[in-house]
Amino acid sequence: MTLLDDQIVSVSSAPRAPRRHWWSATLPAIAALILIVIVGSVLLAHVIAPEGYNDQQITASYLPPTWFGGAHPLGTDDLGRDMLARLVYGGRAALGISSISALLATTLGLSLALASVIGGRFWDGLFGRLADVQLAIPAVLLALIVLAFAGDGLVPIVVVLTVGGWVLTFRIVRVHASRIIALPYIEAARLGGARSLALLRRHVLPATLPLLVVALTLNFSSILVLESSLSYLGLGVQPPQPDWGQMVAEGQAQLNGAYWVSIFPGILIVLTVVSVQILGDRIADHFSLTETVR
Amino acid sequence: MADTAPASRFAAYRIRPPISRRYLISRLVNAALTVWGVITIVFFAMHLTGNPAALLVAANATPQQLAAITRQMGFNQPPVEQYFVFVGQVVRGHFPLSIVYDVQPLQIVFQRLPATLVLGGTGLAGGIVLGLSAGFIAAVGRFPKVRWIPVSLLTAFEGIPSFFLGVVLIALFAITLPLLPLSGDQPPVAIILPALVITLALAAPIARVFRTSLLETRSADHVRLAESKGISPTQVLFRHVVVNSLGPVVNVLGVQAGVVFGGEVVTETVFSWPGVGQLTVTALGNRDYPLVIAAVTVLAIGFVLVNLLVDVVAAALDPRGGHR
Repeated sequence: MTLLDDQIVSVSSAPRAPRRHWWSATLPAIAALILIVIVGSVLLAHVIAPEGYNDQQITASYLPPTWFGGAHPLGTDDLGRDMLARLVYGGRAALGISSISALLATTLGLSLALASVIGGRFWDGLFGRLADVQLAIPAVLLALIVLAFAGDGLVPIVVVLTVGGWVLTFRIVRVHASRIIALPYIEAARLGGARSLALLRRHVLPATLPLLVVALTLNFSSILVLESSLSYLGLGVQPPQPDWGQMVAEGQAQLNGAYWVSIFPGILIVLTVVSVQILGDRIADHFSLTETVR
Repeated sequence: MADTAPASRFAAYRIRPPISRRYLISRLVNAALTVWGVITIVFFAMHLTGNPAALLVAANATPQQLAAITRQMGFNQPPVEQYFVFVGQVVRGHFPLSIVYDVQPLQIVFQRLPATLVLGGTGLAGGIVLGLSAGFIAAVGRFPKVRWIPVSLLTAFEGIPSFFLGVVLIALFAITLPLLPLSGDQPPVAIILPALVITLALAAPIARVFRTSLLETRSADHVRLAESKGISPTQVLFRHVVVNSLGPVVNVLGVQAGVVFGGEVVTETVFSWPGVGQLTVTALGNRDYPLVIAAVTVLAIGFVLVNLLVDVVAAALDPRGGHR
């Protein structure tokens, strides 16, 4: 009776195998292509725009995009600066700050997660509580407080973004690592005389690697959103150096006549965020981690 | 069959309060700890700059004014005592005068609070309605081929940062099609676009969780029992499936409260909505630090209160203890 009951329940509530659509293969390819183009042109900013991001030509302000050909294919802004140049240099700031912060946040989250798995109840409790406190304060609010006083340097903004992002990695790696540490082969390694650190390095860390890649993509996209929001609010990279969020704010007053000043950097943010998310999903799918991450 | 015995047994279950006192106390302690944490962060952040008293007065202040502020906030005392004096002053709501407005900062913040609450409340209500509808359609909609569309659309909107969504909405509905006002000067129509931004940020996670929860509840034992008793499918759906699927949604609301509050700061700035979020950002631009501290503290307390409310409601709705 119980057996039958369980079987019925498990059959009826089992998740259906995800149906494969033609776009489940195409979408990650498109996302990768978009990312390659964006990251490539951002890295080659000095080649694409040798004149730099602050080449003002007041007579040529608010030129509309000509798309192909012409001196300013994506138009110019209020000071007659080339939009393409501002976009690729703005991407350097946005993507650079976000990727450094995402790497730091993932590393911090990973270290604390491993420490809390191996370190016993005290550390586990401490870090868990720390994560709760972190989640209890909205990231934007925390950033406002710190950046209000610490100023607009590169270090404060990276610190704020890292502190705002580590919990995600911490949570998912901790759950995963604590499952791994209960497996027989860890027990065997321990009986074989492995020390904690060696155990982590040789046996636990490799097992969390795929998850870590997924965590990195999740971190990157959420940190890029936070970074551009702060930049939009005027915190972070200061003019004349461009940043995508800041460019959206600058162009907002002229949405009426010169939509491109505000809309183009915004589109780049959305394209980057969505592409990274799609790739992250694809990686999670590949390692069957979708359940763990959600 | 003895009819009275089971009835009284159920009655005994009903009398038990929906949430345990222990849970309530632990949530209250957590809330107090969080507010304390925010005040502590503000304190340390202020000390990053060296002389915190100099931040709290106008740039052209006399040495006497500087000394008065130093004394009021306890900056002339040893570091540990400084901290306690500062926390004490903030808890009692004693902030230095706002540099720009020259009045008690709390007074300004409370003036702006209604606008924030109205916007947040409208966005929240919209997010719940939209999220529940999309989740419901995705789980039990009549046409399996197309019922995933609403949730997917909401998920697509999730990838757009709220400040850019705001800018796009302004470009579409205030400029290209001049239907709605540009900024927060002309209520009540002006609320539509900013509320829509918050609504769209909230709806996607609610829809996903509600969909999963509905699918799980639909295959639960009590639902199969209700079906086998011959209750009409509509009744089963609404009285047994939908109602019992709402618990996880409340939990999601708790997690997403941060989205609403963070989103308020950004959204109010995009639409010049005269609320506390915009006040904070403007004060930051004016280097009006007393006002920044007061506004941030009020926002943090509001956030903590919302979280507390959500936790208590979630516990009361679903006393099985699925929540931590």
